[in-house]
Amino acid sequence: MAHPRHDLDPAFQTPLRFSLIAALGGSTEADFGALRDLLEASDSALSKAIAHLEGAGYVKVTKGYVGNRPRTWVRLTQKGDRAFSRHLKALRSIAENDSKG
Amino acid sequence: MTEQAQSAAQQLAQYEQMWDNDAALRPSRGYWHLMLWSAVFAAAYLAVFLFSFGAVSEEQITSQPGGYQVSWLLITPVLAFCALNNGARERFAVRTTYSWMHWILFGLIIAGFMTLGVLWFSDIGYPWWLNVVLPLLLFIAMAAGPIRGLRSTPRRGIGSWGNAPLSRSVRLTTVVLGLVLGVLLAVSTHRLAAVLVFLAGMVYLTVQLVAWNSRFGLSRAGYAWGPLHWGSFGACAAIMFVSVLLRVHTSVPIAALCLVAGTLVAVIMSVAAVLPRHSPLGRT
Repeated sequence: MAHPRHDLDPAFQTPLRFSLIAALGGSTEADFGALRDLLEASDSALSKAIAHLEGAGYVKVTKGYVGNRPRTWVRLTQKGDRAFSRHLKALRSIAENDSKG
Repeated sequence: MTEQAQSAAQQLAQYEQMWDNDAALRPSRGYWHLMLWSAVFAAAYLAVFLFSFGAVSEEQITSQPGGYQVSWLLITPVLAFCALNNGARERFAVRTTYSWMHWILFGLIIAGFMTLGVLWFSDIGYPWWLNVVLPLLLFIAMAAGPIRGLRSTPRRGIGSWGNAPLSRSVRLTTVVLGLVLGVLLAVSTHRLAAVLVFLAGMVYLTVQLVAWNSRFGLSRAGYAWGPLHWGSFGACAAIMFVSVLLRVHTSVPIAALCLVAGTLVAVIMSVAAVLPRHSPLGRT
């Protein structure tokens, strides 16, 4: 049986990307500003994290408007949801295996 | 504990912490109120539509003053509502999306609605209670999430959704919307006038769709409106819906009733446009 570490997804290996996906959840769509405040990240760091996850197909970015000001919405895709569930399962297996062993 | 296991445990702890945090990404009570309001509006529209057309024969409708033009009194506020609601959703930093289960349910409701339409056009009778079941299903599909959300979201005010004085452009949009709805209702029993006003209303709504992002757009008004304005719009839509039901199912003097009701709609929206005079902080 393969070691659970093989199921860890490199896309979630940085703390910011991991927190971002964890914060979004399955049926929530969040504004860029709300994510930035919650994750206490800079605009550029969060932009990079979102771009990376969007490239992997794990989040979808849409644009909205508040008056004339553009607004960026981020939401988890089904692919991202499945990948994150796999990642969490692998993390639990690693932590449990180690505590048993 | 190995370094990898330690890192895994840390990430899991971080994940748990994120979901234990009350302030985590969850929609506000204001958002849930808006979604619940949308569910009530959509279900009421469907119910009134079915009870106005599905529950009576084609002859009964065509014999009414204005005939099928009565449907415009239902369609116009719904089109306006869609644009307003789209703007209001932009007010909230965290929103929900519908799951595939929801979309299947909506598809079934639309299929049911189309089936009733085909039965009605084919003069095939169907049980009257289907006119109740379909709006009820729509309400449950749209309101279940907001009701759950309201129960689980702590009561700390209504979020950022309150009443504040509207900008000049939004006031104008609100008054024009009230005039369009009011005049449409007031003249709806006069065939030619109703056609002209409906066409003017459609031109207005089309311009709104094209210029949806302008400061005179309905989306902008929906974004700026507070509960007071939404309540006023709801009251106007209710007046229009009840007028349609009275018109189809009773023999009240409908021309006079529509004139009074239409005037009331225009007055309500015009008054709501200038309220409140002062912001909650005392500034105008």
